[in-house]
Amino acid sequence: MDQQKEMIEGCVKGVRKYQDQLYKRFASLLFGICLRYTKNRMEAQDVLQEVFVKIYNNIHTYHHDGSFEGWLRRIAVNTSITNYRKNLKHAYQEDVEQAVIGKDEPMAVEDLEYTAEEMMLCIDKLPTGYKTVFNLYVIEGFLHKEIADMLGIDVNTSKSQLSRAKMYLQKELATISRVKMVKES
Amino acid sequence: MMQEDRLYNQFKSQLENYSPEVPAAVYSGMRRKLWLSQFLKFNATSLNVWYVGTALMLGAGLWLTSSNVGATAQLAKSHSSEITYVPVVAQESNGSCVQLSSCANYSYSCGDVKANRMGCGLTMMPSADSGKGVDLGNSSNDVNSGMVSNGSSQNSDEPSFSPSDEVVVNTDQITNEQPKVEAKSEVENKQKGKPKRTYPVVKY
Repeated sequence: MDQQKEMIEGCVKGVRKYQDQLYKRFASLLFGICLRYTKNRMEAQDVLQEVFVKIYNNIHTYHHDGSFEGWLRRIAVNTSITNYRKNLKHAYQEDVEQAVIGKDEPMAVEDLEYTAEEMMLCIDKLPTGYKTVFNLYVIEGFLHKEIADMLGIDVNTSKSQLSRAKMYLQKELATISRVKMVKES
Repeated sequence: MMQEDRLYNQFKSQLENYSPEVPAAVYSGMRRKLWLSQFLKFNATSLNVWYVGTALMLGAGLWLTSSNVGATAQLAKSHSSEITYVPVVAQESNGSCVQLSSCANYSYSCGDVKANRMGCGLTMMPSADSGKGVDLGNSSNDVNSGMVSNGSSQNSDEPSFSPSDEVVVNTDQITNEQPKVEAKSEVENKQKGKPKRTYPVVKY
């Protein structure tokens, strides 16, 4: 804990050693968050760079009164949402196109364990709008009202996007389950 | 509902702490972006765009000032080397000789008065066709270089000039600045409060 405090204070002073320490410690975790909200790895890398720039420039505003990791996560999520809203026009076109696929009858999810990579593959296939709502609701734990405010959409839109995302993911997980069963047999 | 919760829990547990490997290129890109963001932000303790901008402005200001001064000096120098002062010597009605221009490198005689002056280069030469005229000399350092000559000077170093002589100027040697100089001499005369004088006609 003292080490973390020292690292934060070093970052406030702009000491490169501590900045590198912070990067090494949290880059992977924050990259995982960025990957969940973006369309591809390249975009996630760009967002991650912006996240760290924001962290270093605003670390003096962190007053040790909450979880530092939570603070970092929040910056990563907010930066990802800003990036999503920046590309909203393009994302909307993609949503409409992908929504047709999502109307398929969902298949039941088998009682199987999935790896993080498999789940990431499923999430990657989601349209950006669905992906964002799903991440904010399921993983970050925001309410529909908060999500609607953050994304500038209606509460009902948030709910319907989550519902469609769920159907889409169930279908994808079922496909993965079938492939796994075939491999096992 | 149970199935939905299970699905959500599965995703949450797997992805909440999902930490894939970060490509090495991200770090260098992040450093670049960080440097740029800090460079664009004012900070009293580090070099940033505000300091660079101020330094550039100061440099540009100094350069402009020095170039203006240099240009002015060059202009003054070129003018001083180009302007040819034409000394005009006249005799007033009471018989005294008057120098009407500000030339300072000539010798002349007017009646009984002889004088040597130095200070400016002159380009007027004796008229070839009339055999008499004004020799203004062309050396600023030659104190005794003759400038006024009626062709019958008593001494070649001290050409003489008579007010009754017609002053002839070789127009081939006269530069365009001559009218300005005469105007200047007139202004000087006005400033001194001297009355207008009549002097021999100068043919160009």
